Amino acid sequence: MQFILDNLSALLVSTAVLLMVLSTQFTAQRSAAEQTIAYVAKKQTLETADTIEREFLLIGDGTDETIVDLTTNVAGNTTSFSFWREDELGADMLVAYTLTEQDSLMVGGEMRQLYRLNRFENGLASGGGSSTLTDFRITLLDMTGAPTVSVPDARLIRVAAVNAYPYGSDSDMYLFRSFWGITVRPMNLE
Amino acid sequence: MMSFAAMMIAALAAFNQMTSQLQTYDEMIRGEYELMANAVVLERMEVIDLTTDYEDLEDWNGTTTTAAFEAGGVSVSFDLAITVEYVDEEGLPSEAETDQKELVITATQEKFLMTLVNHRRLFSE
Repeated sequence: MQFILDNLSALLVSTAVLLMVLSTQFTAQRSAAEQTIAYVAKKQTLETADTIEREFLLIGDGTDETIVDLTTNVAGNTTSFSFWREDELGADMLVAYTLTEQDSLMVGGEMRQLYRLNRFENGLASGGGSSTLTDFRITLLDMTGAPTVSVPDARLIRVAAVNAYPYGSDSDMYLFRSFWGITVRPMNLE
Repeated sequence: MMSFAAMMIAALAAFNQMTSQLQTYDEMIRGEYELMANAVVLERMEVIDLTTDYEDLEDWNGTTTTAAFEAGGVSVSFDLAITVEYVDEEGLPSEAETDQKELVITATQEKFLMTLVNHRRLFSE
């Protein structure tokens, strides 16, 4: 009898230890995957941000015109933003940033629309950004920092974006979101 | 005794793992807040640059305000503190009047004890 009890208790303890070790291992793996996903989302967001920041400072540079289009959808996202700038050879170039709808995701009972950021030079696709944006908003600001729709009054451009990465199964999905924003002052918006 | 020790070791390993994970989440969240704070501070800096003459920059010294970052249905408010002081040619604070001033905007947030971002810009006469 004593022999059976000893073996039973040993089995219980070893099972408990094994379950704890497995649980720790599973949590560590999940954490590593989450960190990698978050890092990729952040890196992609900042790369796009860097391009936008450098290019928006050149709005109207060497050209007679500046911003020619700023269109927003019902969700408040900027679906089209066009402006003139000079290219590397000194010729006028019309640059357009547009948003294209991608997949919709159901996350936490809420439907999320993802967008792809496209970039065009004189109507030809050239570069772009993430295809997992949930938000991309460009706002013109006047001299006092107040929003304006008037290009002649605009002195600053505020850009805000949210890049999202889905993680997990359909039934238990989580959306990592990376936020970014900046306000630039193109010298030719005067 | 051996089995008790094994369970203790496993429990400690699990606890360490959980602590490390929480620390990582905290750092990730702080990184997001820093980027948001960066956006509102830079905007305030540009507005001050646009609207304030060099002679009047001191009016901003010691002022505080709040500004919110809004995107993706999220609105996060930050406390901004502004200082302006004269600096010498090496960018060091100067008691005497020089021909350049340094404007510093510091952003803090109630969730974090320490300053999130700190931006400086030099203005010359």
